[in-house]
Amino acid sequence: MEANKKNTNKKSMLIVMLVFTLLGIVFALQFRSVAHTQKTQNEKTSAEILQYQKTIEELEKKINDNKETKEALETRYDSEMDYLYNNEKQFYELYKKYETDIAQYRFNAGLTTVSGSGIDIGLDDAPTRYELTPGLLVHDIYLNEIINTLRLAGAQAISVNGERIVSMSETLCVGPSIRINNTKLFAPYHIQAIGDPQELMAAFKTSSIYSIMIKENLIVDPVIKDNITIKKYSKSYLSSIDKLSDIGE
Amino acid sequence: MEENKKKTASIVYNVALTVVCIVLGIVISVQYRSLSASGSASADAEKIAMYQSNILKLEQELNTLETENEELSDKVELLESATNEEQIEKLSEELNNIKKFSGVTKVEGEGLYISISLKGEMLSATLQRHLLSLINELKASSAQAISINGERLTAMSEIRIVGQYVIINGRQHSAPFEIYAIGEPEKLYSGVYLNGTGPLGVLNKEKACEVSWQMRENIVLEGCNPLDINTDMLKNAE
Repeated sequence: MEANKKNTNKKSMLIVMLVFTLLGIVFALQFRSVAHTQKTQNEKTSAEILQYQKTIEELEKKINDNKETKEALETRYDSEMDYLYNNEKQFYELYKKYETDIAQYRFNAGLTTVSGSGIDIGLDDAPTRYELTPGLLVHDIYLNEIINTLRLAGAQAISVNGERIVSMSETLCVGPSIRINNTKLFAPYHIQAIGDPQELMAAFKTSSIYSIMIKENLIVDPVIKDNITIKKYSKSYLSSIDKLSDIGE
Repeated sequence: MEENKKKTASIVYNVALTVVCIVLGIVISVQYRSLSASGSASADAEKIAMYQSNILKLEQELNTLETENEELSDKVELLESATNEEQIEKLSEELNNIKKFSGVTKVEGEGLYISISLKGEMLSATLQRHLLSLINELKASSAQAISINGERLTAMSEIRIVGQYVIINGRQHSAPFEIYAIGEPEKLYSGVYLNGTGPLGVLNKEKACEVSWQMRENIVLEGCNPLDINTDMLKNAE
């Protein structure tokens, strides 16, 4: 009887030992795999960041070069204009008249940087709750509808992440990014619009697209601003009119 | 004696179990922390997003500068070497091009014609979404000028459907909706139809709509009314 009890005791101890050994092995494996993924992840990120830093440096250099070129060109322009002013006053006036007209149409066409009061709508993809169920994304049709809503509310200038909306601007999903004016933009998005701030805000908040985005748990943050600067269209406009031929007005 | 031995064995057994459990607990907590430290991955993602938006801003600045320099250098070269007549000619060409870009002039070119008529009931919101997608896709396929029922689309033209009507530039037009787009006809068509999955393809399957389209060699579009471009709330910030 006693021997039997001893035997069971030994058996249960053995089982406990076995279970713990197995647990130990499982933990060791798990530990290593986590450490490994973290290491490769870190290496990947730092390589990516290095690449970005390099790109930024290159861009800054190009920008500085272009600024210098611009200054030199402006000096040449000023001296030519000075010459005309002093020697060919009549032609100078005509030239200036054209420049004023051109500036006016540029202003109307979105080819000048403008400022005014309006709203700024911050938009971001829904936060990820669990690794396996990524949050919902901001889609091109959403931006398209928001822009349309703002136009309806009398917006006079609109930009998305610095891209000025001009007459033929598209909003197109390209993978995780959205293409506007042929430039890829990534979340978070900022839609800025100049117009009557109260009207813009009211129109946006009562739009169906607003309630859809809220339902989808997207991050939507509209703010009224007294002073918004909207940059001009940064591309050359010539390539977007080369298929239009004039016919007399 | 036997009793004592049994007692010691039981103590040793219990202590061993406790130690193993404590070690396990520590291992689990370490593991847990290292996993939640991968929350730093989201910090990295934020950093990367910051770099990307920084790069975009710089690219936009560079683009602007390059465009400005190109235009300015053309102008300066003309000022330095061309005759007055040539310069006026150039200036008037520039003025004309900018007018064209803003949509205020009458233009002509090849392109795509799309007609949408309504056969049955369709929710205004649905139809509006279809129309917005269609126009957006035309723009994405390099359309250079678009009009709907004679309304030339400008940067701030809204598209609103109310029942059988479309409201554009504040004016109301009834169905059928006639859309003209100037651009490369093939490119426009393949962009909007997209083997039946593009907005034109989708509209074509809607029972409430009848859709037809045609590539045209010669489309003439009126300019928009200059008064439709409102700028009274914009200040020049150059």
